[in-house]
Amino acid sequence: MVVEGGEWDPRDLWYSWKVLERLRDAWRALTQPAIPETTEELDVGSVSETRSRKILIVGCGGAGKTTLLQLMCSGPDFLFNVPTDYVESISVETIDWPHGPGTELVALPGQRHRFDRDFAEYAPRIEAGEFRGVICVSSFGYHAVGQVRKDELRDYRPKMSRSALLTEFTTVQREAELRLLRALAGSMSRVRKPVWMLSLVTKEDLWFKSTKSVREHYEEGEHRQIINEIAKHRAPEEFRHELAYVSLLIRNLETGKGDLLANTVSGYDQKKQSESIRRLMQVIDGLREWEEERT
Amino acid sequence: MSTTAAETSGQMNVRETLIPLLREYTESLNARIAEVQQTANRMHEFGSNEQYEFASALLRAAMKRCSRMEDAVGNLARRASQLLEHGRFDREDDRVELELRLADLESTLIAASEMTLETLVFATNAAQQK
Repeated sequence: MVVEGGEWDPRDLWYSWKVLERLRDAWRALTQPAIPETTEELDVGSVSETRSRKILIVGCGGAGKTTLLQLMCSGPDFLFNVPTDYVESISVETIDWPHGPGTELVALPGQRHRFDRDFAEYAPRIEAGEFRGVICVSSFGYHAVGQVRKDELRDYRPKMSRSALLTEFTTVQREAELRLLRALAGSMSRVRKPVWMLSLVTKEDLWFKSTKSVREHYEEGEHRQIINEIAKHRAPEEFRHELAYVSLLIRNLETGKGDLLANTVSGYDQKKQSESIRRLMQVIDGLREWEEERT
Repeated sequence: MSTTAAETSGQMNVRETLIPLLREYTESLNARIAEVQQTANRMHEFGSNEQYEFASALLRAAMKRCSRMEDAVGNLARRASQLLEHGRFDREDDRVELELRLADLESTLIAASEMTLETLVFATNAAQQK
């Protein structure tokens, strides 16, 4: 909200408002059921049939799955209901679109001990085509940490600098992101229906200065290789992958006990955040168009 | 709760503090679930309207005792989960036991929340049949 120089600029708020409104509309267009004009449209492969299938949201714990859902579904209201502390989801969340009938959204908890258990149940359902789209949320390892002190973290050592701790923490968490993606990829390669996948990299406000490394990681590194592996098993018209970078919330990375792990990048303001959300909106529009084109 | 060497050096003493808490509150929540179930199962025994009203009050009280624990126990589960996900363990056995105890507590929590809903449906149906 504060622009360079520390001055309040109401245009930023207006811009955020409009972008969030358009994001909600784009998300609504993607998730609301198409009304069939004829009974033939209910056949397998029609837009109506496609829209009746669910959307799955996966990602490591603290990567931003719940925040994403709140933002997508609430639009501009999100500005007045910004989430405060990170509250870990204990079980699978099933979310109904709040503005009328729509696609069911299912979010799996991302903590390793829960994901392994829940994913074993969901993998056959993914393969059977229950989901028409999968959003895989990651954040270059900048995962929110709940009720843990800094000195309880796995990588903490006495007298360690904050930046050294952050480097080790995010490196380990990036490996966790890849592990989750590998598990998902196995099922995505075997889906029996057309499916799209959105790799959403959140927390741009925390890693913005390392954009080059982040892009390399997701566009050239192992992440890309795993996506390519999925694509190799699918006909091009049966699988669509998109990648988007976004900041859902401008916020420092802290433990639930208040220990600072990373500051937001200096100069990353609300305007930049709104730009990232606008790009996400375009990606969502693209997914909707892909669904409509191939039916 | 005594302060141990592990705690002063920044390590959570999982074995002496967290695991006993998980065990205690899993048992406690299970006892409250059983209380709700027993009360609900006895609803049909009450013939008159007065007896039924009394049984309904007992059921509501039992459900309240159960649901009042859910948030706090949920936070305990989150604390354990975050340690499992991000914490450091000097003994692998502690990590394994914490994972098992947490799974036990979480399944009890999920059962409590599902049971609350089912009991409400049951009580509503029973009231309508009266």
